[in-house]
Amino acid sequence: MSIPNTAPTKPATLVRWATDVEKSVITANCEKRPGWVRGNIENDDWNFYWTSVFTTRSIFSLETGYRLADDQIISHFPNHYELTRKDHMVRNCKRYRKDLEREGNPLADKDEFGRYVYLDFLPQTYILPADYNIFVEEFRRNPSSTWIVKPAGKAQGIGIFLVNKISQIKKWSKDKAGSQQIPHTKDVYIISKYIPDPLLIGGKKFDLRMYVLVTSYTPLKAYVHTQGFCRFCTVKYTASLNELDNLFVHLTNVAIQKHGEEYNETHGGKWSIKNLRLFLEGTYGKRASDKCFDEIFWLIHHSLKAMQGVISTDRHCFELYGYDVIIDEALKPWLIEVNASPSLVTTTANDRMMKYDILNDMINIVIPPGEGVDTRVKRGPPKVLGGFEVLCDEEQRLLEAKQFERRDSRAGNKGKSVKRLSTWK
Amino acid sequence: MTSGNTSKQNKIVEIILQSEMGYSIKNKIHNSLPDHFESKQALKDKMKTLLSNAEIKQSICNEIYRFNSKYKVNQGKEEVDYLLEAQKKWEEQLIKSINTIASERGKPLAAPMGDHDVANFRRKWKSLGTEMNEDTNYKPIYSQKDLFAYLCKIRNPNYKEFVMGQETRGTLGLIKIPLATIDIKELQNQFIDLSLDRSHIGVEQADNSNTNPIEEQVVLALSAASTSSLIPVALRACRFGVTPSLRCTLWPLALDIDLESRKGQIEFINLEKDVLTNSLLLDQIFINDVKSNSANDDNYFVFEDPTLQVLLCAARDYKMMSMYTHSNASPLKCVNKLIDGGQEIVAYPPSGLIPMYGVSYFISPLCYVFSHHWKIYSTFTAMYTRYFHKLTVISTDTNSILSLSKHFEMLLIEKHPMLFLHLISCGIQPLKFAFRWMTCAFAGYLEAEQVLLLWDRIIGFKSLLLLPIAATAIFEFRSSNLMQVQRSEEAEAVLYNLNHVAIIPLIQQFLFVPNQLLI
Repeated sequence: MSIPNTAPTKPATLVRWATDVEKSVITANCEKRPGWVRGNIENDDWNFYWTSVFTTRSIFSLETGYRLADDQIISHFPNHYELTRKDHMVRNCKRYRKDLEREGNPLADKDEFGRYVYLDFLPQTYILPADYNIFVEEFRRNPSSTWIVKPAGKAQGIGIFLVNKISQIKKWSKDKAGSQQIPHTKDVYIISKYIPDPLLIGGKKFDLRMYVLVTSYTPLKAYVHTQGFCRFCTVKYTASLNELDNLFVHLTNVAIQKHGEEYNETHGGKWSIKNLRLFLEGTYGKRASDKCFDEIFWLIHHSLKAMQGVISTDRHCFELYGYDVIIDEALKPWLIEVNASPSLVTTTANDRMMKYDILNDMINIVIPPGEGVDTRVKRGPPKVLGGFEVLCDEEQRLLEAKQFERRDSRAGNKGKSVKRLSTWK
Repeated sequence: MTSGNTSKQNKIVEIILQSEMGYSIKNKIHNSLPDHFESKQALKDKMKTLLSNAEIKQSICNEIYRFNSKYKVNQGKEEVDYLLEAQKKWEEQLIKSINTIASERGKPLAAPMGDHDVANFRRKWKSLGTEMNEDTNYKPIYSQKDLFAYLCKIRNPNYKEFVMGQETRGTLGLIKIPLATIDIKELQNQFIDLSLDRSHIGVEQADNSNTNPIEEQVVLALSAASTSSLIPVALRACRFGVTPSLRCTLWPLALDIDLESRKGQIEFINLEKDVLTNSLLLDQIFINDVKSNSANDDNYFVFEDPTLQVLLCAARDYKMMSMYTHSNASPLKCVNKLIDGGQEIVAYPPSGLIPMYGVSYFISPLCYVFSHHWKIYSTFTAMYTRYFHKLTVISTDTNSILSLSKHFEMLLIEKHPMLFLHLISCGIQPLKFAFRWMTCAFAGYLEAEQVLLLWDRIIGFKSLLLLPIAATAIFEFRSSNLMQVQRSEEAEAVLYNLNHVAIIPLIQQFLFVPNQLLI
């Protein structure tokens, strides 16, 4: 298939789009674009395919033997699970830190307690059953701590429970075979230290959902959207043990909260990041608020750096991630998990507008308006960022660094360049 | 030295000596003086050094400012007979409304709680929002609609004779009575600090650069203002908008409320105790208000608990009665049936805060500014007694809702006569929309950040006239769409979503850019 040249008079077909997720936020977004027509999935007649992770996996699987053409892009990386499955993400991030440590990279410096100074963004986490013994050891050291157990491959709060006695784990691991709750015995779980002092606003616990677009891993090109939201628990937070069973107190997933009695249809427990920032700036000061958001960008950046070399770079792929972050009382952000298929189910009017905007901005970056798809063409930095901000563009940074070197050498300046490069930090 | 100057100085000395601060200065001087001075000169020098102390200088400045502003306050109460009458009749309606609720529910206006209830309530206090439920049997005392309908019905008994041959444009609108309004030219003078050539917080510069030198300057000026501790400087700074992190110091200074001493905190704790031991009939109405307004709003739902706590305390704070000293409204006198069968006439609620539906919207935005409940409380009561209370009062006072409504109509007619005529001819009354926005000072309609930016200016200019100006500015902003609507529902759709409206640039545009669209 070739891309027809844009005729000056009538809009030619630029992009054939397809999706297997029939959500209005995606279809309406494609339909309104000039030069975009609906393609055909059966005949592989598409340029832009917004798919579920399952479809992508089957497209890339060896059995189908299908290769994407130069004019085809798809909404997932084939091995996205390295980032989006909880156990893989944890393993990759741990390995990344170890690698940096081995290199003697100052980023991997540790404090006197053996904690990473700059890369301590994951709550203490172990993989079950593999790390069971290490976990038990750790638990014995801090017997009063609370831990949260999640199935590695499930989303939306399914199968999550809290644990504060080792017996609860033992029972679970003994019962594992034959239990109805866990149908697949080989299912992997992760167990993470529960953040005991989360930041509460209006007495309620919340987590942060940020949208991150990655168009390439090597070189890393990633963008963070300014529109994200906080998800609030509907019930007042208590750290008391009696409430351990009440998941509404602890879990902020909308999918879970929706079943709570207190769920509100108007706002859906969602609060914009803009409002969070306004609140933090007002009540904690600008410096503290800026630092908190800088650290969020920092952890997103390094979680993606940890995937370099693990997630295969494929020019046909881009991916929109939903990052879940919890902020603690000291305004320190913690990475909880990353979702590959952020929910496109829209709950409220504002929610729909926000998701529509994010997808619109995302398409403008992966296929610039008025252009077709051609993965052979090397594109510069996106012209229209919309609500996205550049988190990292290593290609552009390299380019700028080269230009700068040239300028420096011309000026005879051998000092280190101090100019801000095209990344947030 | 001229005699005029001397008398001025004498006046100042007099003011200072009469003020609370005067005593403390006198004490300071007294304590620091040794028993015997060698000479008169030494005494004078000592006095001079004391008075040049920066802190004392500030206090003197603020004291003079307070003295001066006392005279500027609208002293005379309403003198127009038929408006006094209208206000009185309105209050009678409200009393009736409260009495109806009391008899329907079979409850006293106020009653001490039993021990069991106190313990129960105390347990719930920290998470009041979640624990208390809406009870739809309690209807609001009055809503915007009630007040709106009432205002539209007010007539000047003498007006008929003046219609013929006189300027009649005022009668096109819904506010049928003649009221003096300020035209755009005069508003430009009054709000000159909003003009386009000054830099403002809340106005994005055309070049979208990250570091904005102009904004940095404003921020510097703001932090200087907040450290100056001078009321007039803080007021002036608020006119240009305040950054989120400086509001918690600049607003209290500009409003001249003390949030540093423990006094406010102790008062709030006492009010909390009152809430926990005495129940009011109106409590459920306050709970309903929070539940269906601010707690049901994208911007404010997280602040359900603080909003409710502050509101319940405010209902009991007799200090809020001060709002009636400069207004022709009066607290409601209700009959409370006592347990022993007797009756007593009481001002009700004890604070005089008669909640218009949506009153919680005056509190929730403050939760973005302060984290301590008592600070939210003190700021709310200061703003309500000085400004927002006027949004429920019928009088000729420029800040009263009657005058603001009239201003809105006159401003729209002045700048966009065609738009006004078009809407009227389709049977759409622009005031119907503006009224909703104005009565809650735009909270619940604009985004939280925009509400705070607008309130910055209300505090800075000490004027609610910004509300009709902002409302007209929104009509101007949406005018090309509004010119095409034919039905009320269409206008509703055009004006429904104000989510992405940046209000300050619109106000600037409205006041300082002549109308080109419709000429």
